[in-house]
Order: sequence, then C-alpha cells, then structure tokens
Amino acid sequence: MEEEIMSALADLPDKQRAVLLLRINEDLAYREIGEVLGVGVQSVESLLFRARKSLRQSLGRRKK
Amino acid sequence: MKCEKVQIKLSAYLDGELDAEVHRELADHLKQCPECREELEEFSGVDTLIRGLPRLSLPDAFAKVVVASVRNAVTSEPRKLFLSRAWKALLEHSERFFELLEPESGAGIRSLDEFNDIPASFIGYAYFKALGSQR
Repeated sequence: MEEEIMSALADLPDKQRAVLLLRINEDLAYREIGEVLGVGVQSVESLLFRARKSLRQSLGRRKK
Repeated sequence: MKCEKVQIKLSAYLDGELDAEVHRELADHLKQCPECREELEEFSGVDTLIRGLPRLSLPDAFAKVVVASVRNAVTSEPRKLFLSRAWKALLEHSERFFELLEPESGAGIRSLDEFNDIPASFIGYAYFKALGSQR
C-alpha cells in the first residue's frame, strides 16, 4: 500500500504534490504554503482540492 | 448550499481554512447530507494515508547548515521569516533533499553555495520535484 501511495503522489503535478505535503506533513497554513511556493491563498486552496480529489480517485482505482 | 458547491470547499473545510460563516454553512449541510459526509471522510482518509508514510531523517548538522542558509536569505524580508520554520520542518525528515544535494557518484554533499542565487521558494519547488522523481 505504501508503494501505491508514493506512486500516486509522484503522479500528481509538482505544485499539487507540494501543497499537499506542506499541508499534511508540515502542518502549514494556506498563507504559509503560498509564501513557500510563491502562489496566492486561493491557488493553494484550489491545488489542495485537486490534489486530494486526484489522489482519492487514483488510490480507489488501484484498489480495484 | 448545494452539494456541488459544498464539495469544492470540503478540502478547505477539512483544513479549517474557511471563513467562520462558510464553515458553519458547510457544517450544517454536512449534518443532513450523507453523500457530502462520505466525500469528506474520503478526503480525510487520503490525509491519513499520507501521514502514515515513513518519515526519513536527515543528519542534524546538515539541516542546521541549510536552515541557517535559508534564514540568511530571508532576513532582509521579515515577513518571510517563517520560511525558515517551514524549511526546518522539511529538513527534519527529508532524506530526499539530502539526495538532491548529494550526486549519485557519492562524492559527498555539494556546497550550498550553488543555491545562493536561487530564491528560497524555488529551492522548495526543487525539493518536491526531487521527491516526485524518486520512483
């Protein structure tokens, strides 16, 4: 399972992977993530939504 | 609020990043909508899976050097000082960033000087690019 998650993470576009890991692993606020990556808070929100949605779909497919 | 609008906001809801009023609207909707609750649980499940991945460690001394370097780079802009906190957190578990600095030849850690001209935020981007290439 661990490999599947790593693989699904690696398949994400760079910025989606970055916001997701900065949020989940580093517990940064959206404003802080925006500063680190040089994007606005709205972009962070949108990137995170797409990253989670994509990972959920991707992991769901792999389970089947 | 309609399900479609709610679901777009679920990610930010999970992170506690919505305005109080919107947060309350979503909470009310979730109480009465099993479909959106399930969506929220699935997002939450993704987070749990990622938190369960192993966290790799980096030698303390190396982390200190890089953190000091990043801190120096942002000292002239106080509002960005918290970047160093982000970096410290990143480096505490980031063997992959270590690999980025250490060529495959095993010749050892490259000088951090080569990062001097690169904005700190770009180094963050490079870090995650490196993470993506480790397959």
